[in-house]
Amino acid sequence: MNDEFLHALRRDPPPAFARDLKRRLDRRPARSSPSSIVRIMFGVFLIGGVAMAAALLLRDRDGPRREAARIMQSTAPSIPAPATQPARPPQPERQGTRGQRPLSQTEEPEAKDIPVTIVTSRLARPLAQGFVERASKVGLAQPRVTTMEDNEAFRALCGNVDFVIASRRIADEELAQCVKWGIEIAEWKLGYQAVVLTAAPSTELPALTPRDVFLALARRIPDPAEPSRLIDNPNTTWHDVDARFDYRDIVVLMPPDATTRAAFQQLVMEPGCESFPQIARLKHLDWPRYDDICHELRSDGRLREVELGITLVTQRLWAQPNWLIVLGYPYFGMYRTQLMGTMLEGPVPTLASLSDGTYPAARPVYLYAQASQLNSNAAARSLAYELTGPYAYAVGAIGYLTRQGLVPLDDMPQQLRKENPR
Amino acid sequence: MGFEEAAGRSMHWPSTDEADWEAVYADHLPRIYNYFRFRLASEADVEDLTARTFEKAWSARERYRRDLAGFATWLYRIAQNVCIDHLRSRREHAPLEVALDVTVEGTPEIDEERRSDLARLAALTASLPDRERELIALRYGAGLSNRAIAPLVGLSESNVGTILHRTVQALRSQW
Repeated sequence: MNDEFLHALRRDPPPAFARDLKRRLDRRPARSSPSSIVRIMFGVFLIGGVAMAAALLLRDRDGPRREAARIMQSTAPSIPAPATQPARPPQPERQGTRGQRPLSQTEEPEAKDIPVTIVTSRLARPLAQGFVERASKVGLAQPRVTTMEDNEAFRALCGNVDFVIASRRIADEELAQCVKWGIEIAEWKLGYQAVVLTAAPSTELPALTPRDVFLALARRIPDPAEPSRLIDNPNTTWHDVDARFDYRDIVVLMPPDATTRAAFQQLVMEPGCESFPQIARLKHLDWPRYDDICHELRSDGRLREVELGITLVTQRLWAQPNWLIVLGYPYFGMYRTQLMGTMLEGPVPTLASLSDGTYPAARPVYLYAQASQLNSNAAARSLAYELTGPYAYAVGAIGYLTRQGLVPLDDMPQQLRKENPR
Repeated sequence: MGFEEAAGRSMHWPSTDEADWEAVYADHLPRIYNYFRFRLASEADVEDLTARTFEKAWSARERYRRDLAGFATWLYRIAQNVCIDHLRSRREHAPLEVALDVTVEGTPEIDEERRSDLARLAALTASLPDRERELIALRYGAGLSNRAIAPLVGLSESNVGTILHRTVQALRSQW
């Protein structure tokens, strides 16, 4: 008996029970407590009293000025009342903006006045982190970064978030929701995130599915004899993973950088893990457990960290044709001709297969912003310029985010950068 | 939308917004359900008590004060109170022996094995002090972290870890 055994005794509530209970709850209104009603009443009286006292005080002090104003009002054109705005979603308070009056066009804040909030997908988190580090180095306002799922991030974009870095394009209905609330959204495609599982050209391993990779590299896998239990990964050869493979040792190399590891976990391990329905269900029911099962990689020497160098491919990998290696797309692109291509089933990773979405281990990276923030907040504008401006310091072919694994859309920014060194 | 780290993961704060409540329900229903399974080992009561917990929380959601406790702490405190009330009410006439009526997914063999495992565990935990039973239910039933359990049982995080470790060792020796 151990932790794993005890956790395995859990089970999901019967679906019929979960459905019925949800239905009952939906019909049940929330009760306000009597004490909260008293508190609200007290608050109303307090505010009313203070307002009345202030009005009386001002009336006594501003008597003569009010007379003058009355004359001015009679000659000045009347100002129309502001149009009623559609209801907005509840928004988190943003430090530095609470209670602040709206900024006029001539009254622009300094770049560091208003903190910029960035919400990022889990996959794009290392890129956002790279940007934050860069911002602190070059003196840009330090943004606050939060990680959310893409659909949550897009909901927040219609609320009080300045930027969203997402791993998919905003859906029409999500955009319509922002438009309904009177928020204009700006969109940029920054590039792609992609990993490649590859090998030396002479490898004899056939193509792998994400499920094969999961069964080879996960720390724990479902017990073949009893799929509802997890066991420490016992597979030592590819034949253990699936009988269609030969008896070749499982050895996979991976660079030690967090970006490649995170991308591999989310783009390759997750689909493999979710090929087991009982684990896939955990994604929405028990995220920590799902995270533990699907993202935990084995540490028994089958998966080895390796520094990327110029001799890695030709000396180490060519000498061991049945070793696999996980690479970020940029590094793969440099050594493409000396490598196998992809070991995963499906098309070879190229810019074309990345952009048309056919290469499975890749996601686009989009940047979204509230257009009004770009107009009124200098810090937000600087940030957008840094990421999307013509000099492409961040996302060009040699941009700092590209060095962290972002695949740029094309090589044009590199040319621009050469002509306009910072 | 606000978030908190209560059970070692981000949990949704239930505003009156319907989508948030949906997420809270999806997050916590299996945890509360399994908390009662580990605590009581009686399927009929488990469903009843889970429903009672959520109905209480849902009715009182306007009264929840996040300045006093995290949402998970608040919800599990309700579950603990519901459980205590239930145990008190049945103490006079219910035996401690465990009668399980568990309908689990999987093959009949797996179902039977898991049912007997839980029954055996329940029989072993029945001899444990109430505090240890509560810790086992919160840790392995609700899947809470030691940090999230600590305020629920009035112990420090390290104390929770130590007691759980000893309890599991004791259970292992009797298994």
